[in-house]
Amino acid sequence: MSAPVAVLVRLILRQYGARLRRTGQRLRSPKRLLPTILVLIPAALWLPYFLAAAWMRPPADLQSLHRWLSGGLTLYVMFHLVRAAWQAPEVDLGMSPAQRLWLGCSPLPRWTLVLYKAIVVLVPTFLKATLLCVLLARDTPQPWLAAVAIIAALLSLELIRLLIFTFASGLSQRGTAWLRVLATGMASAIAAQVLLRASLRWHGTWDHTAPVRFVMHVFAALGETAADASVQRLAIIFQPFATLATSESIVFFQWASMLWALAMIGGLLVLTLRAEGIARVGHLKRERQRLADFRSGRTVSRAGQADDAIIDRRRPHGERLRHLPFWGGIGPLASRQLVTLRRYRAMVFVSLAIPGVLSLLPIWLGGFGTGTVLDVIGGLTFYTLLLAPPALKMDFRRDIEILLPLAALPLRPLAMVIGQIAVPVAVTILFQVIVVFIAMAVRPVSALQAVFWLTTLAGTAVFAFALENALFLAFPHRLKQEGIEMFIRTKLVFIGKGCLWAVATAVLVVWALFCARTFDQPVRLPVLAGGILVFVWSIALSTLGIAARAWRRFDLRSDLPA
Amino acid sequence: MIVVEALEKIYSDTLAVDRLSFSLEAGQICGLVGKNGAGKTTTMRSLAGLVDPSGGRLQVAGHDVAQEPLEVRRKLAYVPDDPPLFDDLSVGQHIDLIGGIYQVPQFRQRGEALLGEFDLLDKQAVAARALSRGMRQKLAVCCAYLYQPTVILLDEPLTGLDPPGIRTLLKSVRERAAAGATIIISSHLLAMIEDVCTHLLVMHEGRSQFFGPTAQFRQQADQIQTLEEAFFASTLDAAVVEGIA
Repeated sequence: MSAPVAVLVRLILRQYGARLRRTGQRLRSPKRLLPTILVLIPAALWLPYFLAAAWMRPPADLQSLHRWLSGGLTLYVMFHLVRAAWQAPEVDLGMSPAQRLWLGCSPLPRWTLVLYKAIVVLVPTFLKATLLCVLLARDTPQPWLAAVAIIAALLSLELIRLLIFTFASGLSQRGTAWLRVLATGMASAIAAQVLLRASLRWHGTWDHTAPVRFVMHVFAALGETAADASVQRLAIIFQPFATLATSESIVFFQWASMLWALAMIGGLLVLTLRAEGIARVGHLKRERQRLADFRSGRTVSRAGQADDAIIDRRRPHGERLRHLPFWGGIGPLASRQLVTLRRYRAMVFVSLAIPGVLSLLPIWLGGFGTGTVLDVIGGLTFYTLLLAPPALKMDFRRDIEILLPLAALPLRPLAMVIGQIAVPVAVTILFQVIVVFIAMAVRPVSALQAVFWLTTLAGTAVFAFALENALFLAFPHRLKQEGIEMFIRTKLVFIGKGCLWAVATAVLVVWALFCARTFDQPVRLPVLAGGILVFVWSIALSTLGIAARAWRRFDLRSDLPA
Repeated sequence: MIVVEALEKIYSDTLAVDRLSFSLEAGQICGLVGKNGAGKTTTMRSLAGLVDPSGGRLQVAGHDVAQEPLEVRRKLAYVPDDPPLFDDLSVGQHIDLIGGIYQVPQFRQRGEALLGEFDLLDKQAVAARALSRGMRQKLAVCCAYLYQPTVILLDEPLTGLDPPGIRTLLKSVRERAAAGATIIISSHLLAMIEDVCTHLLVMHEGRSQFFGPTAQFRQQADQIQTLEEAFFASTLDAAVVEGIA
């Protein structure tokens, strides 16, 4: 190992070591001990179930597995392409300010920094690969060969992500627009294929088992799409990984596949370096063009002065913000979040449009079933809890760098939390109202029912964002943080949310049965509905209180992540 | 040691540096002063290779910044304002990291000497995240001095330092310049740096208002006594200067 690489490996090991120690200390701290245990218990129960389910199912045939693996990796590349097209550009290999100063500004060759980025993701890649290997152990004839293939494939995928983001960072405005058209077009075509396949598989009416059946159909359709000839043609670079994973013995072709995997990883490193060089040249060219525009008297301001045209464009938005009332400090906080919303509006629209369409499927599949507004409400609740918080990160999570000035504001913790989550909650409620109104246009229901559902859904929106922020304040992380602790955190949060979902469903079922057996018809429905409203809103408000408590107890000296 | 020829840098809607030219020899200490947004940090970052200039030519220690970036980085140290550190690493591990990257012989002994000089010796095992602003600044300076660069760029190095820390830093700057290093210090604390700087570069709206020996800057007007007054005289309107007088 060369000296620079050895230094970087030592740096990564020390960082991982320090983070693991710190994570361990923080999990043992009194204020995090209870939530950690509450999540670890179901996780401990879930793990044997996961293993048993993985081992006891019938094995998939190797040809299908081959196509799923290569096609699945290709679909993941498309996902990264869409992200790169729509997200803010990741310049300088996505290095943190410290990495940029001490590594980027040092005499380390640039290739070692690309390698460093690849090594950083090795640990989470190993963990993900382990999970996948366990899941596929029943299907793969040589588990160790599959493990090699999966680790190499996931590492390649991460390098492809880096390559795509580096390439996208160097695009001009027109280039970015084209990338958006291309990536969104491809993603839409894939989504349309999946939905069409799921629809074609659909049999019978839309009954209480329909959501589960539909999800199973979507997964099956996803597998079919991944195995489709069009995707397989694109998946040619991943074929050797799939071949390796599904091989029964090592002969010439398997050795060749291993060589291909190594060559691909090396090639991706070189391509990323090349893409970075091209991106820099592109930036410089455009900068020089702007400079030429300035010299020729066109609009660019001097240092320290803003262009008049820009001030004119910004002023109306600033004026609109000032119109929000103070509301105990909630108004100014919400105004600031509106600026963020304005900045990410396209992203937010796309993130919510897709679940909106999916929620309305029970009604649009009308020819195949008898979906009702209730089915749409179920879907909406699911997406509100699962997808809205990741799509609308305009709360404490985006403010991780400015928590100190936020803490210095003379606001009560509850007002602070409400102010921070007001905008994402309002956007989610708007999204719910639009979807419910579209559903009502197709399947009309009474106004009272609509008000009941919307009030309940609003409660779930408050609950979802209060919970997300309470979790964030108890276990804070940076927006683009990677690594082992994020991997474990994501899995545990997912299990925790799943448990809450199950408990809430069980409580509602018990309440419905109780009402059915205890009350007669004229009062049964109002009591049932009133009980549900009280349940949902009391949980939402309690979670809001927990988030406020988490903010009050947030220790800026020790809780901020590295 | 440092040659800047017609440096230009344009950001999306702002011309940050406009045809800036100056040169410094070994052993010279240049105070880089100017109002906020004058282009000081951009100039330093361009020299450090952290941003690509839109135009112009930069030379550091005889090497072209664009053509020989690795050679330049071996010989140059840049300490930004509020320097970012690896929050997971301790003070000692930062020294290890920089010693390893720059292949500094006996970097531990040298690191300990520097940490002792800046009063950080007892903080070696402390994580960077637990350091105060001033301590972070001192650690970054220690890391920068560790590999004995011939060109040192310090952006607002005095901010957050306690009085002994300021004294130590200014003393270390003088010593390194005496040993042949070329140093640029950007600071708003003009009274603090005026005795250290041999040269002065005054920037205003991306342009050089003055470049030359510090004494020459003071001599520009008879009634001006301090660097601060001279600075106001060169960057503000005459009416403002009269107001101050």
